[in-house]
Amino acid sequence: MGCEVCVLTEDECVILHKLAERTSLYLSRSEEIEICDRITSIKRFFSQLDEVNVEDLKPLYHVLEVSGKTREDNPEPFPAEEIRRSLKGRFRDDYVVAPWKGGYD
Amino acid sequence: MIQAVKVSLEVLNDRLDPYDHLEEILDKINRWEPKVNAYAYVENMGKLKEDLGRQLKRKGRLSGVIVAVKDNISTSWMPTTAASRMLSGYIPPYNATVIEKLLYEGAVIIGKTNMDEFAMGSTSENTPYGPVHNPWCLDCTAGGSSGGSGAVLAYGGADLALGSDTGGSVRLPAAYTGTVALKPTYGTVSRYGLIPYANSLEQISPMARTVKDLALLYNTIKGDDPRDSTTLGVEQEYPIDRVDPGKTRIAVIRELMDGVDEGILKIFWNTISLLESHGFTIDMVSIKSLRYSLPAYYVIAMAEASSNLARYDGVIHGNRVKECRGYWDCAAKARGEYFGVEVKTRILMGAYVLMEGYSREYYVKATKLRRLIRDSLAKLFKDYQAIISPVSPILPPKLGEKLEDPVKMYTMDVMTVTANLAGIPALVQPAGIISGFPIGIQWMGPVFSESRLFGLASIVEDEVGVITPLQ
Amino acid sequence: MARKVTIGLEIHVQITGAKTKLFCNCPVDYRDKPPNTNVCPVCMGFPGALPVVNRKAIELAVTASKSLNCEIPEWLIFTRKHYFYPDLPKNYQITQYKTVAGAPVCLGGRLDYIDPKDWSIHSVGLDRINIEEDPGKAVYEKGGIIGSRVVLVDYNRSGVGLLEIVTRPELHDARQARIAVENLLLTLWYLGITDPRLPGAFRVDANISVEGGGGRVELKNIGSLIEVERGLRYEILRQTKIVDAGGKIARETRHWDTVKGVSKATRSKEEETDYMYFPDPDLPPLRVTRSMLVKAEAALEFTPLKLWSDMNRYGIDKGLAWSIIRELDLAKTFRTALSIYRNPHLIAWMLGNVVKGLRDKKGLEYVPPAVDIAYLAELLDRNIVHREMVKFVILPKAMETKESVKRIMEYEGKLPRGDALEKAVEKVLIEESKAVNDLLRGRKQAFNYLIGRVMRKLDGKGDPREIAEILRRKLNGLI
Repeated sequence: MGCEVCVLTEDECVILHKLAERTSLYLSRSEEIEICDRITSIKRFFSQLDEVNVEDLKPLYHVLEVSGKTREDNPEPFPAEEIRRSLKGRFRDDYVVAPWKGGYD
Repeated sequence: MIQAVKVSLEVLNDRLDPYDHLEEILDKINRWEPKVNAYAYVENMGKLKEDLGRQLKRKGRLSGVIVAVKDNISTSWMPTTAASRMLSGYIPPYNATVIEKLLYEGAVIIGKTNMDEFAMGSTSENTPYGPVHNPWCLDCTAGGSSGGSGAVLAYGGADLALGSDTGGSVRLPAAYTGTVALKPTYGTVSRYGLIPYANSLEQISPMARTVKDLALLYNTIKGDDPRDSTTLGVEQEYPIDRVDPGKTRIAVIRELMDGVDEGILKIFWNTISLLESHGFTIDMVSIKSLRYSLPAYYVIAMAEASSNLARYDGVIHGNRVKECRGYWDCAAKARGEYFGVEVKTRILMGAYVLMEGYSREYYVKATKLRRLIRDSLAKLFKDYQAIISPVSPILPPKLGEKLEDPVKMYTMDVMTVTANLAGIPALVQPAGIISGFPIGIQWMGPVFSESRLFGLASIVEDEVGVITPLQ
Repeated sequence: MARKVTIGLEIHVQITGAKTKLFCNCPVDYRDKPPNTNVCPVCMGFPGALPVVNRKAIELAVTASKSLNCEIPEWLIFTRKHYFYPDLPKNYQITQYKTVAGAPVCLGGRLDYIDPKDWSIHSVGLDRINIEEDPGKAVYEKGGIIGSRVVLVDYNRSGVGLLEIVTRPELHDARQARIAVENLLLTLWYLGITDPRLPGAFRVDANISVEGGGGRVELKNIGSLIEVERGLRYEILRQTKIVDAGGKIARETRHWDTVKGVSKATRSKEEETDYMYFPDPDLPPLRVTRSMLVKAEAALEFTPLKLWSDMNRYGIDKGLAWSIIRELDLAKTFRTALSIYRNPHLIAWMLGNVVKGLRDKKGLEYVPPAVDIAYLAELLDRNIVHREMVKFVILPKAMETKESVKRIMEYEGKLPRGDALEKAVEKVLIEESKAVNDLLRGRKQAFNYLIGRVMRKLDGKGDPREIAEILRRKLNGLI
């Protein structure tokens, strides 16, 4: 699907399908073609990173590098009706209904 | 247009009827919205008057002030969709911390502003509500992703506005709509309630028409939040500093001057001359690592985005599709149906840069570059008190122009992403007008230097004045 | 034929010792609440809600790591682990991970455990311990996990703190595995980290391979100690049969069906291994502070192994010791009673033999307070009561009625009632006026003399401490 029209190589195309599966994204055929092109362009853009060598640096995940917060162990229940209101239509007998082998009825 | 800093005072002294003020704003909305499309949702008049009555009693520093809020900031009584069909109809069960702070100070939230879906975009065109038009040039973009907030301020559809800034999302709109915006120091404003795009980069950010108003809004929303582990335990006010030109060295960074439009350059150098005439020392310097800011930024942003958006599978979060079989099929189809193509692209690329075997050369490498960039800037700030730069290399593009190639759009952020990578504050303000377009400049300073940036911007503002689009 | 079996365990233990969930203020006690009422924007994963770490949960995790001889890093790092599943509100779980800048609360480590068959002590190495959040609970309709059309999800459990304790593949039979888990849970129970008696407080996954089989099988969904042994026995036998018949074992995940007592292959969906780990940008690294380590160190004063070695030193019968150690309330009572009255043998006998016996035979859960146990030990030592009386009358009564031992002794006529004591004291004060005068002049020994006189009047049945108190009261602060 889509591989023949994409600028991506066969391997890259396989990766795209794997990514779509892993991120749970259904792509229509026309979307796949469009996204192929976009990904090709972005990958070229990212390849600028190849020029620079930063092997010796440590990664920086939290920019200000301070110790995280902790909180006291005090229960503070949240009003369940607020959750219920926000998620209206998703419940059956107080449970959230999700499809398993079937669909949403 | 009246300044927000004056509204509560004038109301208190009976020099301004707050209901007239509200109606004046609603009039402008009625006049401009059909052309500009900056609001995703406007509260009805009855409810607004009721809110105003209640909020006036609070006698806070924002009593009577009308605030527009970007559609990705949670409000428990208004839709919050992040301009995504995935979240159409969603009303959160709670308020963002910044909303609580605004309400506490007496503000009235008038509505939610249009934006790029999940804040992913630089033009406010990736939106199911239709693109935001720039009040200065109706077939141009207002910048993104907080284009709605910028446009609303430009035409007077609110006194103040909140946006969010992940890589320039309030600064580009400010530059394109002739308004002011601040991307604060990371960790000074709570993100609790901000629908996340890239958590490690973004801050909810104030937008206004004047520097004083900007400072007022920033001081209202900033502060430590026990609900956000990334807010810093610092409690301090950020007044507008009086900056001493004799003690202030300003850097122009060569890497942020590449490929900039002639008109923008002209305004930029005019501003430099102006600052020099005030006695500031301005030097041109080079920071090589900034050449890689843009790809490093996009790698990190997409990785985090891919993760943040995983929750929308239709079960608790996100809309559901009818035609599907089995949990994974239903999730994939809902995500396929309700996410726009830019969002899908970033989800896929985000997963790609985190994939085993690839994360080292993309994600991890980008975070190493992030350290290099942050440290290079910190070093520069030992010798310089601020950086000045253009905001965008180009004038506002025509609507539709940037949609084809994503990377072309990403390039619009080349001057703004550095502040997000480094966690430093960055302020954008108008510095002049070229062929009918407002042109912005950007100030950056070390962490927690917001007061200094307000002071520097005030100097320029005093010369340039507040600019507004023709009706 | 007997083949070498290799087992590694992954034990998930809820941190029920904290009052709130790992990243929000919802109560940990989700049991018996109507579905989806013990939730908030954070544990339901609402967009924009953010996690904030529960300090108590971290302290308990650090304590667990210390008790298991782990290497504890200076900074704890939380990682996002991504997979799509209806019970996971954000479709990623906040956990810890060894690589990608991860730093779990424990690396390495060792679980020492007592084998009650021969009282030998063994060890199994630990790979790591992760702190992570529990997902919601999925209820499958007709057809179960294999065939149900929809799944009903209750998120009340979502966000409860878990310790994921991963052993090295160093266990070799089902019984041993069960004993190791039992010892582990006991330790965590002592340390106040979890209450293993609560339903669902722990779950075990096991990796099992049989020599010559090739692949290893992950057996999931084991929810009790008995099931650990049963499930593993089944799986070892299943694999052995296949290998004996010349077959190979495929690497797969199997689900333990408790009701049918068989393991079943599950869908391949769970075998996806790329979880796109990266450090959670919402949670900056957390420093393991000195005060956390000091608290952890202090908690280690009381562990099953420590009590075991203490009891061995006292020369207490090993079976008796183990029957006390296995139940936290008995162990705690032992420790406290011993600090009041130092006769470990009598106290151990009462708790491990009598109380435990009554608990097992009659289902009596109540344990008399440590002061009462200590008091009884003293009375036994002073021959005021005999063992038969304690075993067949006093302790059964105390456990049935929850009355104090003293009251029961009074009823049984083994102790003078309160008024009899008073009377005896009054009599002695009149008879012994010389001693009283000596006392008032400051001769302290006279006080003990008076107590002795009262005791004699009561045929030695009185409690000297109580007599002393009455004496002081009667003398109205003159001494």
